[in-house]
Amino acid sequence: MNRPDSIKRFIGVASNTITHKILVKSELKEELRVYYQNEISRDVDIALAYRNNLNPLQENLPDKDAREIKKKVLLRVRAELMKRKDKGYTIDFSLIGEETEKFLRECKVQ
Amino acid sequence: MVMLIRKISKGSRFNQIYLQKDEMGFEPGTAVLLQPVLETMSREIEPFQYNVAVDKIKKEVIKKIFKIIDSAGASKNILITGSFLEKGFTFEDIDIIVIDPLITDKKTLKDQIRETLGVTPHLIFIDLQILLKGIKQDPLFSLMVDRFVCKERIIFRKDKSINYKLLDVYLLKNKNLIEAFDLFTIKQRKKVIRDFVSIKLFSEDKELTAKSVEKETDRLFGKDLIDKLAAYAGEESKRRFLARFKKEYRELENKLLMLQEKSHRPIIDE
Repeated sequence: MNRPDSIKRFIGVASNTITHKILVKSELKEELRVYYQNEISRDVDIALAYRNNLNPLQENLPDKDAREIKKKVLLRVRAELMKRKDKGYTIDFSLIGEETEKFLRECKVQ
Repeated sequence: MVMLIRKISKGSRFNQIYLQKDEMGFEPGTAVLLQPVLETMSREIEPFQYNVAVDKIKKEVIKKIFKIIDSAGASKNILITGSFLEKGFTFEDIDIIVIDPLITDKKTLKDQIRETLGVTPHLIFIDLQILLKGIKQDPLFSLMVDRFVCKERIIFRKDKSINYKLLDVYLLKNKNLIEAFDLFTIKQRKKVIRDFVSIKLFSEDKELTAKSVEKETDRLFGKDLIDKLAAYAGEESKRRFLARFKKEYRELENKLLMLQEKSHRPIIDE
């Protein structure tokens, strides 16, 4: 898989996973969350597998790539959540930045 | 009947049972029976089977699991569910639901079951009220109690309360199969497909059983294709499956969001 394809896949997996995490936090009571988070570690592993196709492996990605990835992930997560806002969801939009930063750090993107 | 489990300590002065002031249900002067708890509990437990008939070997494994969990601490009930109950020995782990557990060292319990039986347990510790709520609202919980073996007799009502937001959150965790099909193991692919079909059936208020999920899966994707995905997915099968899954996923997501919007819209009296 070439670099642009790996980046594209990484953005897709990261966006879905972050959106899912925010919806779980926004919509589910605390005692229920544990039963809806089982797949998050699987998805982080999948995102890492795409990340590990990209050099450098041991350091963060070059600034240009990291900025591009972050911008696209933020846009996609926001779009998914906006789609739900009008349908009666009570979404905490402040979580988008926080969760995206956390996810990208975990995957050594930035 | 109130029951207490305590450890014995001996002294030289009293031959009475000493309880703390705030222990509920035991008045001073009440006669009580003392008996070693593990010996009492280790009497032969005959598991109850609901909608399934497991063979002798599996029944022995289940009894052993009950004993190990009982020795780790008290619980209201223990349910065995999932692929372990299917015929044959193709299961990869054993789904075990421990209801209202008073078990502190859950990690050791998991290791103990794995070491004693040589199979990986998937332990779910849950309060009864949350489980009952889950069965009403969540296709995964509902499917789990379609057939099970349990320690104490229990019957679950399967009336539904459809919460579209919850189904949407649940659906979203399956979306990464579209982005990263190749990185999912066969087992993970099967689980995602099963979860997806369960959400679909549940949202349509249709019967939700292992059989109905299998039937609907074959109808949606074709039995041949599903069999291929469970063994080795060639490029052509993968392409066909993903095209179909994307379409079905989009339709279900749109439907859930639309129904959520409808259920959320305030009712205006004319």
